[in-house]
Amino acid sequence: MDTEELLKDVLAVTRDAGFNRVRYIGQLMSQEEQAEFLKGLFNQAVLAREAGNAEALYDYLEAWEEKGMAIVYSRAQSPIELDETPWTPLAKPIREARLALVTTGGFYLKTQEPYETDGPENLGDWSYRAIPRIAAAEEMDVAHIHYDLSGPRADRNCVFPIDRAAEMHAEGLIGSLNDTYYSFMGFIQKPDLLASETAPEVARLLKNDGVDAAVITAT
Amino acid sequence: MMNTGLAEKMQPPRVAHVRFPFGRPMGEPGNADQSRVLLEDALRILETATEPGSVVHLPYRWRREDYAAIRRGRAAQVAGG
Repeated sequence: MDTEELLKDVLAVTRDAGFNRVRYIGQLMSQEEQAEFLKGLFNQAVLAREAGNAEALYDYLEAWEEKGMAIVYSRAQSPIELDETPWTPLAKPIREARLALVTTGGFYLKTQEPYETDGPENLGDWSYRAIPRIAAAEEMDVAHIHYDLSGPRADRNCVFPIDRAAEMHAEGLIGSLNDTYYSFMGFIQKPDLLASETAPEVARLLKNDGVDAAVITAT
Repeated sequence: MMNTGLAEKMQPPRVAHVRFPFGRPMGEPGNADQSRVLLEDALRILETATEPGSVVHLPYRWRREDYAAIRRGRAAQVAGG
């Protein structure tokens, strides 16, 4: 095995491992950068053992994960080009405002059609589902093949913070909550149709309901 | 609420950026204190951001924070005015 293969092999980290995004170092970085990472990793491991404290080691791994992510995102394409970033000032404090939640996590009611997570032509799905604010966790499921669904199935709030918003409203920290929230499923290979059709439709629905602000959680 | 550096390309008006594992933008399943802290932060950014494209990098290190203590600290701050 040559050095390059060895480095790639060492850095082929499984997707569900802690710090699994260091795999981008193996996938996307040069041989020199991979060697630099491993050298630093060894040094940090030695220091962590001597100090009896692995905090700096974890920080090191996170910093390299960020470097890998930066490469991934620098290659990503934006679905639409905007002349300027949209901006609507918040008209009233959150304590008086009407709030809605929107997510790209792939949530749907079990009485609704699930999303086309892949589709025959691998186009994904740009449709949305209206999720009643009072829907119980048992009435919902998630469909998405591009992230680990065990989390939102165990606790929807790790992606779609429905119960946290209800608590904050009950405590008087949020003025009111919209009766309807919205979910998309983030694997969308026709983002032009999302931008021209379904996203504006959801924005219109929220506006018609008098929503002042929306928190969007992306997966 | 994004765990990505995509913000520059997507141009959302306000972004709360977290360094959490992919698919866990509000934190770890079952950690109510964590998701509560994150939602509070997102709402604070809604209230305080003053210009388009505001990106706030939240400092949390996944499991290596005591989110219950963060909430107690915030409650004490409110009580203390």
